Amino acid sequence: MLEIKNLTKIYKGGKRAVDNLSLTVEKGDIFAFIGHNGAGKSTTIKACVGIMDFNSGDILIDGHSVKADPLYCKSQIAYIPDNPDVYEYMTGIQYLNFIGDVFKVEISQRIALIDKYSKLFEIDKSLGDPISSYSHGMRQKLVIIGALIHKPKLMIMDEPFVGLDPKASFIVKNVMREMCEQGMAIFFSTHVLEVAEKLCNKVAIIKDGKLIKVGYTEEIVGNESLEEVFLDSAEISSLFSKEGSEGEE
Amino acid sequence: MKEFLLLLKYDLLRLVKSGKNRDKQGGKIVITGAVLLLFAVLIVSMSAIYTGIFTAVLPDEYKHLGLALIVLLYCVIFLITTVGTSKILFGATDYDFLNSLPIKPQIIILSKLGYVYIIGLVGALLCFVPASIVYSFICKSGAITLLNALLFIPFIPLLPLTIGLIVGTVFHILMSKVKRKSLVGTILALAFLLVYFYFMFGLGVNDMEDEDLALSLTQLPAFFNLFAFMAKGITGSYLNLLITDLSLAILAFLYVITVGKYYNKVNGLISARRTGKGADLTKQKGSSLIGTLVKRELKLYFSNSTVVINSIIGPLMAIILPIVLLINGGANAFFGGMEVTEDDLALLNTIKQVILPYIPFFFIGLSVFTSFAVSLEGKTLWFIKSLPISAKNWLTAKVITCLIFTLPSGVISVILFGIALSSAWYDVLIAIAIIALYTVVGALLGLTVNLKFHNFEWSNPAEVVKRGASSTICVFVGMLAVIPVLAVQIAGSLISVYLGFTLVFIILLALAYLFYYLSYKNAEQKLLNM
Repeated sequence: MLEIKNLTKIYKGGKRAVDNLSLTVEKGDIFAFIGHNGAGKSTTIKACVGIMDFNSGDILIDGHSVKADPLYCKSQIAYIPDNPDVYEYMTGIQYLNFIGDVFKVEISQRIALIDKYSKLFEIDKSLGDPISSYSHGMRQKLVIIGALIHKPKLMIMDEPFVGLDPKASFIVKNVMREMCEQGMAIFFSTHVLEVAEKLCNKVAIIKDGKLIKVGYTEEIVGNESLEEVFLDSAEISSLFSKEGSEGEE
Repeated sequence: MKEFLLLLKYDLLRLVKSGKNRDKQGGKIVITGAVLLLFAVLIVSMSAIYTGIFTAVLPDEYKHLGLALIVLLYCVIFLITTVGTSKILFGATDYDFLNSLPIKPQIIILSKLGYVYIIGLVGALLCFVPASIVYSFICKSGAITLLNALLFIPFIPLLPLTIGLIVGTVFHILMSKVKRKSLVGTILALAFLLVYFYFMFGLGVNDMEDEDLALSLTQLPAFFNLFAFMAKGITGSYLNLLITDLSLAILAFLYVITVGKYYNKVNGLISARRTGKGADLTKQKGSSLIGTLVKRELKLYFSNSTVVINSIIGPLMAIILPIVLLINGGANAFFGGMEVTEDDLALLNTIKQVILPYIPFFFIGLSVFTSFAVSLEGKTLWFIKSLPISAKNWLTAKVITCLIFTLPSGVISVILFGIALSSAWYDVLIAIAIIALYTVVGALLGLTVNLKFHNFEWSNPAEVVKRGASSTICVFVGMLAVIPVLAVQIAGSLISVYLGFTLVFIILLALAYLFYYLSYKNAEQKLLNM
């Protein structure tokens, strides 16, 4: 569903944000993308979504190149950013209708899905209000609903659980499972490693723009926790054990 | 005092920083050059007016127009400062931040007013001081005129500031009572604009001691007494000026003290609130992609009164002026009921025929929505980039939105001027074709310039609408575009008026194609790189 091939992104000034990164997300995968701050997660995600250009490599969505056929690729995906800056001058329902029009969602399907998800996320009573009156969490929920109403084949999310209350987080996880059971795929970055460990069947760890681990969650985690694996790869845990032994001495 | 100066410094630094951002996007040389040239044009024109160079070419009964133009320029500064004052006080983006600090609301209001006043003062200094110096030098009126000018200058931003406070506060209190705050705010701002224009171009003659000033101020009957008092200051009564300045300053301070007590309450009321009414899903309708993009642009446009005021002035004036002309007697009023011979009449008819399409050029050129439409995407640009919307459709929606305002106003303006000038129907049709094409050229030019000089890092739309590189360049070009076009028309008219029209039409068509090509070429890559 998503194939990243040797992706490299270099910012002005020579900073190599992503370095020769390759990974594949199949249909039915819930794929977690984890890494420290500034590791290159958001850059990778933005390149996949077609928001950001990249220097070399290619990204294929459903077999189509993001560079060669960006409109097709964007029509197959839904993107949920970490910061839901959307049109404050629109009401919730206007925003959802805008999404529906862009993705050519039939009216009957649109109404049914908006009704379903707005009640599920408990913002149905706020759809008539301007987005400027929404809290951060409400905006996040609205963006998620907007992503769901056009039934994308691939959902790409950048820290989707930030700002969501526990109930909404639970609902999002269930929706993600449902989507994958129907053959869709999900690729998301997160700092909440417990969620990644329990929810995802595959995980990739990125450090300083390079992929250091990728594969099935069970194989990567092994007998440890994902947090331990992540900290090991980030070479953090060894610092604490060194300090501990120095302290003892 | 320390807090006041600190806040003022913070606001002025933010202005400088937004200017620097603009320079990064716009190219320092181009922007600096455009701004300096604009000021040079203002200074020269003000000086010319003061020295009578402009009025010298007019018949005696129209010499007062020179002075009236000073008043007109002042009125423009008035309007911009008035609107700016009200916007900066209520619903400001830094409201939450400033009110979380241990600073009294009165100090916050005072610092914001100080900021608006300084901006107005700098503008006034740049426009009026050089013109006054040139006038006093050429007319040898010396120190007295210069002193008059210096006393006049603090007054220039003070009046619109005070009126902006009152008008803005009333508007925001009204907005706080309704659901659709932005829309109501925009309508109120437009209503204020219409009332303002009515008084500017209204009817009525009042007696005054100074006949020239009286004639130039005949368009302000509702404010006559106040202006009469101030006019005495302009023409030499320093006591009047000082009293006016002091009164306005005292009024502003009283306002600060009074409103300061209710500042947080008013701001709280105008913040968007949820009503919890939900939406009727059964009434949802779909639109085409272009349709939904245009609707989005229109919602964005009407959500902010700054955007509306700054872009609607031109089309509005393009329609109001011919209506005023019609009310005042049409062509007879335009040519002042002069006694003319038959030869003069033939020449006058040719002039009317030639200028008909070009009268609205200046006003239409002032207000090009596309000159800031790309920048207005701001921090939500990522959203458009993530959707399956081609860059061409995205740009086309902006052009269509611009044309929704400029095309009908241009056509209506030409038709009304045609009626006022008793033009032939076929000349009106030709004028419609030319003005229609000009609006398309204007829209595409605005787009081309904004794609080149864009700024998405704004926190206030005014930064791109009023102070953006692209909008500055387009206003400047819009103001001057009529000159070369008219030159081509006149050159062609030496052989035939219709040859002139044909040449202009061809040139406009070529320009439309050129700007279309420049905007749409590699549009996808341009959008991706933004």
